[in-house]
Amino acid sequence: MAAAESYPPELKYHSEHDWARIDGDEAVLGITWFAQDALGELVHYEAPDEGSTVTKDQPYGEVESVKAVSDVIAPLSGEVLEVNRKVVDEPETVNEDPYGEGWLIRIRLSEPSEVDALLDAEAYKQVVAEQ
Amino acid sequence: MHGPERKLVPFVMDEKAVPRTGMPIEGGGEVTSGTHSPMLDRGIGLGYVPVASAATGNELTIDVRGRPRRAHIVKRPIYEREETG
Repeated sequence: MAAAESYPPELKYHSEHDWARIDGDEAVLGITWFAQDALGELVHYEAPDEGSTVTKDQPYGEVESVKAVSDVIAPLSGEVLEVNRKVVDEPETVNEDPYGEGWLIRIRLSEPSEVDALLDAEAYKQVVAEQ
Repeated sequence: MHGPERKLVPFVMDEKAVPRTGMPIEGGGEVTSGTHSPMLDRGIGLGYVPVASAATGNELTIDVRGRPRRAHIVKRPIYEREETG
């Protein structure tokens, strides 16, 4: 069951259709409703290794649907603390709940000031509207 | 007389990955088509492999965007629907 379109106001967004939930010096990352809708039902999530580092604006993983494969772009830099195993096992979780159960990784921020450059929900909605 | 050097074989992925057209198969081969099978919940495909390694059950290693992923050769059809009453 696909989720309804939404862009929660408490999240920060990257124009490559990724979101970040900031919690102190950590963040949980995922892809937005728009991204999962464009891909269709996900069948594979190629996750980074825990302990590896991700770099803002660079790909850290891949999400693949029956029709397409897409890089997942990191909205922030940091060390991967945790990979969401539920999504590795059941990638369609992202389609069902992109901002909740369908999160992709949790990181420790190496450059917390990068948060300032992210979009808020209203600004991201503008990005989506222009697609 | 020479027989064919390569053979087209159906395969099923043993690791999580979706094979796609053009991906190299280790040992000298190539995926000609591939997708995700919802019925098997695995990647499946067809590919050319050297005749010497084309036996059913033989293991293949497919280069999925730089990552080696295991598969094995199966008999056709890859999936056969069970008769429904």
